[in-house]
Amino acid sequence: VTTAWTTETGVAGWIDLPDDPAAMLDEADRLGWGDGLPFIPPTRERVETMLEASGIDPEEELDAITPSASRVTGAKVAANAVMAGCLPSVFPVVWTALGAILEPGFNHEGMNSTTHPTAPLVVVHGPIVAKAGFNAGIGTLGPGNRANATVGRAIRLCLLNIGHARPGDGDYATQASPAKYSYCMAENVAESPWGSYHVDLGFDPAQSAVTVMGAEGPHHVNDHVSTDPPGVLTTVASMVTVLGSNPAWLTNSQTIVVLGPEHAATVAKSGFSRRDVQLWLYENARLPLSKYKTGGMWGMQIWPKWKEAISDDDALVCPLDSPDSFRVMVAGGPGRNSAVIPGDGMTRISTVPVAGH
Amino acid sequence: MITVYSPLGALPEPEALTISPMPPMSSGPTIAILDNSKHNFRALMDRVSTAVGDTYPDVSWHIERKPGAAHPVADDVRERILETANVVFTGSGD
Repeated sequence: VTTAWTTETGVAGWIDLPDDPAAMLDEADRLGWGDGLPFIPPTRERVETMLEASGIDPEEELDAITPSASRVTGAKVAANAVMAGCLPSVFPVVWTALGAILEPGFNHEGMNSTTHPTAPLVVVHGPIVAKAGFNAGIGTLGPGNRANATVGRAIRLCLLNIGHARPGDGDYATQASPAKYSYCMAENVAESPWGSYHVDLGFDPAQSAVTVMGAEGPHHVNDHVSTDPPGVLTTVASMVTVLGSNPAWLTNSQTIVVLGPEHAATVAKSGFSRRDVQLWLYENARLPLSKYKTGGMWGMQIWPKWKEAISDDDALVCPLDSPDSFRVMVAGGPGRNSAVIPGDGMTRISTVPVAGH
Repeated sequence: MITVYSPLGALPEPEALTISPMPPMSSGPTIAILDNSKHNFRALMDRVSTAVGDTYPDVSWHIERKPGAAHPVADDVRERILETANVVFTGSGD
């Protein structure tokens, strides 16, 4: 469809922008580029540096992004990573995460087109967290760290610029979410009582990996008083059993429970394993069937047969279908706070290795 | 000026599409509605069918419903629509 990247012309090829940063942003805005924020101009030298550091060929391709169906090449992804402010050291994470997002099971088509405020969450695991300077500690889901901020932003810019998934024209999220600007965190293995999430999945500890999920924004879990696992996990469960969140209604939904280190320590000191947390939440994060009937998507829910067969209004029903649907990680810093990150219900969590790291 | 590489994806050339010919209809057409189960779809289509029926009283209707908007249409439902209807409304956004 296109020639080699160095000879592309027109609005999707080489183009001149004003040197002045404000004028450059004006022109990019006119061209329909970006997320509305200032950016680093993707010069040839910067794009090549980004690619060379990872050994990714400019013509190497990932699956196409919907709705544009444009080719997703190394050069295009690198240009967006430059714009986002990425250092070359984090580009392998961007490339790997985007590749996983574009796999069919992730359902990025649904993520881009739905009215639901889903965004691509990226969780970074393994040695590359420290090596590339990701923040796994205090404020991991917030601003102030270049690696976290720019990886999440680069993914979003790829969806906006390569995929043409722009608000009202390819992205129909009713209100969207701040998570659609940037949504990247790192696992705090140093303070995890259960080691690394990706190692539990079978990865070598020396192997870095990323987990991706189409996700709602983080739902805060505030528990400053509990001193045992049932206490902390009851508060976590209260953020799972909500009618306004997609997992209550869509079978096979998944949810990531991001325990802050203090909550994780409280839960683990009684001998709870990561698996115990999954089992406890599945057994206890429940609502009576009658509650589901009061709103949300009742009547148009997509439930498995066994759940649809429940008829007793007093029966306690978990929004998720199995203990495995809860994924448990540790991230963040001091404080008795955690987060529940519900999937959008139409996505599958995927954890993939970062090649060469 | 500074020369940069556009971050935009190149849009594929649009395919030239042709509109399918109207199916042969010896009598009044049957219009199928494939209800995608979203909350207001049926209400919308009830209004549409009423309006169409006022203008074209010889139209008949065939209604099917999917279990959820995210489900593909089941094979047996598709077969029934093919056997019965000349035209089908297949879905709607929110």
